[in-house]
Amino acid sequence: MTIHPALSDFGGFYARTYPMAYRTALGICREGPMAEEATQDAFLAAWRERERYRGDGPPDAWLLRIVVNSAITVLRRRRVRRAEPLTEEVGQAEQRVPDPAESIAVRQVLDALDGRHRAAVVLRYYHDLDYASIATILGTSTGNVGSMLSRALARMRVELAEDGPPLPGAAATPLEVAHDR
Amino acid sequence: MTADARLEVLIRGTLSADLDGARGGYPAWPGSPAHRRTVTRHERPAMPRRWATGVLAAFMVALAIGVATRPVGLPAVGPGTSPDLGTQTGVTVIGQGFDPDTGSTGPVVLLVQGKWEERIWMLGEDGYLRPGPRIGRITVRTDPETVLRIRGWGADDAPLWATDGETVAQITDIEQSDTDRSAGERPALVTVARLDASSDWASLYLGDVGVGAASSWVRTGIEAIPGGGYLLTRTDRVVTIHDGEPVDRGEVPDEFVTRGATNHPARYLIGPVDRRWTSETPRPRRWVEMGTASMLEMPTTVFGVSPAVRSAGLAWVEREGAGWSAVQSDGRFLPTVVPAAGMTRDDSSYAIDPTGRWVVSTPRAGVIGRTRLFDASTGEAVASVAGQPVGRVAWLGDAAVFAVQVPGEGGSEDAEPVDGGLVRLSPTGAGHLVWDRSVSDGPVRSYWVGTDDDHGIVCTPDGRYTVCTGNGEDVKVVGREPAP
Repeated sequence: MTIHPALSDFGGFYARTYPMAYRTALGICREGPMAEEATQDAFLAAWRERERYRGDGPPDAWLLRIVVNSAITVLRRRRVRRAEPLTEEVGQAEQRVPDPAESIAVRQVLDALDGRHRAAVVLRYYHDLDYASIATILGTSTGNVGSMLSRALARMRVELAEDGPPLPGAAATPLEVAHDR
Repeated sequence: MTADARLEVLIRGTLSADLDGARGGYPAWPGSPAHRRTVTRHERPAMPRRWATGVLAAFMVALAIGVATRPVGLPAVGPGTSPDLGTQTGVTVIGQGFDPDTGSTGPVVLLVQGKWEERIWMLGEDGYLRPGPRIGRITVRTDPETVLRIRGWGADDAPLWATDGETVAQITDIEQSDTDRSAGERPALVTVARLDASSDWASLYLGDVGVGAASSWVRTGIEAIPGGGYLLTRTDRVVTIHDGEPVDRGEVPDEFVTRGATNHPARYLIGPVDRRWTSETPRPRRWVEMGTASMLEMPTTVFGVSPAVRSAGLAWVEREGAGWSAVQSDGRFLPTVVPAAGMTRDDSSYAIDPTGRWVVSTPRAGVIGRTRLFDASTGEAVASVAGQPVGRVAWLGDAAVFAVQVPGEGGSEDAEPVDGGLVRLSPTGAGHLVWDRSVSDGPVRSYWVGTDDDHGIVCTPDGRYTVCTGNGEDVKVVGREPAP
C-alpha cells in the first residue's frame, strides 16, 4: 500500500484539517450533529481512500471534496425539518455580527439553499476559494460554479428582499435572473 | 456599497460568525503535537487568542446583564498540584476551552449546576476557579451523562477528565443516591493533577468512540487521544495515534469479532479504552468490562445506547434488519423484538424510567412520527402519541414528559407547526396533553425538557423561559422569565 507523503501522517493530517473540514460541513449542513457525522464520514472515507490520493492537487482540496460530498449525502439522507435551536447563546450574536436581524435573515436564506449551492457559497465566501478550486471540489466546471453562485445570490437577494431587512441599495437593484453559461 | 457587495459582506460575516471557532464533537487533542498546525491559505488567519477573547467578551456581556456576580464557592487549587478538591455539589466538567485555530488551550470549563441556574466556571492559570458567563447553549443541564455525551465525553462508569493542557482534573463522580437526586444535588469529587508528557495518556479516557455526540447514534468513529488514541472502523482495523503518528494495529483479534448471518462484523467500543484491550478476552454478546472499558459485541447494528444504560442495562440494537430489540447489560436480549415499524432509525431520543421497565422512544427532532412507550420486559408498545417531538424526553415521576409540535396543512415535515404542547405519557395513564395554554399562544417552537430533580422541567416556548414543575399528574407553570 503506497500512501502519498502528504497523508502518511494521517493523524497529523486529521488534526490539522479537522477544523476546516468540520466548519465546511457545518456551513453546508447547518446543524452541528449532522456536520459532525458528515465530517466523520468524510475522514473515514479519506482514510479508506488515502491510497488513491496521488498528490495531483492540494490534500486539503482533496479532503474538502470528500467533505462536501459527505455533507451533501448526509443532508439527503436526513431530509428532516431542522428543529429550532434549543437555546440561544448568550451574547454571541452581539459580539460577532453587527446586525442580528440581518444575520438571522441570511441564515434563513442559507438554510433554504440546497446542499450543493450552499457548498458553493461556503467554499467561496468562507474559504475564499477561487472558482477553479471550487469547481474541482464540486466536480463541475468553472462556469457552472459562477452560475451556481449567481443563482444562490439571486435567491438570497429575493428572500432577503421579501423577508429580511432591506439591503442598502437593494430596492434600486432589479432582481437578476441567473443564467447557466 | 452595492447590494451585491453588501450581501457578500453579510454572507461572509454570518458564515464567519457561525463557523469560526466551531470544532465539533471530535476534536483532536489540543495539546497533542499533531494539533499544532500551521494555518493554511484555506483558513482565515486566526485572531490572537480568539478563545480568550471570546470568553472575555462573553463574560463582559454576562457581567453587563448582571448574571455573573455569584461569589466563587469552590476552593482554589493550584496547577501542578494534586489536591483533592473535596466533595463538591453540582460540579460537572464538560470540557476544556481551547482555541481550535491555534491549538492553544484555555482553562478548564466547569458546569456548575444549581437550582435553575447553570454557569460556566473556569480554572485559571493561577488555579483559581472563577465564574464565567451563564450558560446559554448547554441544553441538558442536570444529567451529567447526557451533558458529557453531548460533548462526546464521558461514559457511564468512566472517569471523567478535563485539562487545561497542564493540569488535569479528574471527576470521580458520579455517585448519586436517591436522596441526592431528590435534593437536586450532585456530589462530585474533583482532583487535579499534573500530567507530564510521559504519562500514560492512553489510559486517559477522552471519548466514547462510536457514540454520536448528540444523537446517541452508534457509528464508526475516528478519535484522537493524546499519545494513545485510536481510529476504529467497521472494517475492524485499529489505528492508534502516538505523538501524531498513526500506528496500524492491524485487524482486531478474532476473539473480538462476532460475525452474524450477514457476515458483517460489528463491534463497538463504548466507553474508555486503554491499552489492555488487546489482552482481554471479551465474551461475545456481552458488555465486556476491560479495565475501565466496556465493549458491546453483537452481530448486529447497535442502534443506540441509552444514557441510562448503566442503571437500566439497556441498549437498543438492530437485529439483522428484523427490527429493534433491547439488550441488557448481561448481554441477554429481551424476549420480544420490537417490530421495525415500532422503532425506527429515526428514533433518537429515549428515556428509561428509574425502574428500567419502561422505555420511551421519540422520533428524531423534526421527524413526524409516534412517540412510543415500551414495556422493556416484553418489547411491546403500550402507549403512543403522534406528533413531531422537539427536544428531549425526560421521566418525571411515573410518566415521560416531552413536547410535540402538530404539523400544519398537509402534515408534511416541512409544514409549519400550528399547535403543540407538553405531553405526559405514562404506562398507567397513557398519554395526554398537559400544556398550559396560558404559557404560549402559538405552537411550541423551541424548548427543552429536563429534570432539575425528579420533579422539574424547564421549557422555552416562543422564546421565553418558563419554569414548570411536574409532579405526578400535575404539570403547571410556576413562573417565567424573558429569555436572556
